[in-house]
Amino acid sequence: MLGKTENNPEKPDELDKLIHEPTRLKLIAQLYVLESADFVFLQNRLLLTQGNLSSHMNKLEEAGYVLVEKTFVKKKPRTLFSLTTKGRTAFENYRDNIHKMLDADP
Amino acid sequence: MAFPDLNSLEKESYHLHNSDGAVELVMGVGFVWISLMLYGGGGAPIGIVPVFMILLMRAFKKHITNPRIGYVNWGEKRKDRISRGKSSLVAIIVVLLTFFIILYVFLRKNEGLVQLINPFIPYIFALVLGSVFCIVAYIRTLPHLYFFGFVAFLLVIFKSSLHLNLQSITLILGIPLAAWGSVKLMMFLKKNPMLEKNEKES
Repeated sequence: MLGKTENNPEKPDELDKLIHEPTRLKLIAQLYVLESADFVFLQNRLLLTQGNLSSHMNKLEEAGYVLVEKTFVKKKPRTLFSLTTKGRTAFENYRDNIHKMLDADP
Repeated sequence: MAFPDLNSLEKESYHLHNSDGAVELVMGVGFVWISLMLYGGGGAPIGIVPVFMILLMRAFKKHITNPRIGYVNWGEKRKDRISRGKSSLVAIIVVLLTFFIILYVFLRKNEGLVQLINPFIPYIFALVLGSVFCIVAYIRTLPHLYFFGFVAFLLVIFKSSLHLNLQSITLILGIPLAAWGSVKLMMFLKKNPMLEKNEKES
């Protein structure tokens, strides 16, 4: 069920490996229920180090799942993360697939 | 790993943002201020208190909450809930103002009608005060504020038999709220140290 490809729309029944990793799954699930959140919030909620969060976010951004918006609020930098439509669809597919997989008779 | 329950995830995030005690502290300070103004008498500008409360709330979130636990834009469901609550709050204020304008302009010369309406005024006040608490509780998902709303309702209804006036009622409500907020704030500060300085923009 776990395909070699990380994001293959031609094989919709396969689990997306990029999302399947536990920390990224938590990250994507967190962003799925929000419109956007900043670096500090995600770091705080998931108890991640800066390096760890950055590396996961870079992977998600490269895959086109997460949109990174860097803004300045009164001269202070704020990095906002939000899920792209592609990211939302990928997470929904992942949910459906994992439900199908867990509900299937042994 | 258990699959994340999305509703709980959203609720937990929202609760985390409201665990700073800002609502209780700001409401408590507001009520105590109103009470002191009423004790002072002489047409005190009570109308500025809600404006002050809104400004204080924004400053609190900006300087205390967001630097510690981060900034979030809530999802559609939460935004709808907040805007429904805010609309209800505005509607209550508009209805209340209209009611008192009508009462003042049209009925002040008609003693008979004023006497007819007078016994119902505490009930109207009680409903308004209770509703304000309940709406804030609904918007912020803070169940204990429903209890405060119920207590406020009862205090206004039974103010004569309890020998209370509006000043003492606002004080009775304000002090425990402010104390509750202070305790929550201290716990929040202890649990969430400043994180923003560590963020070197990844």
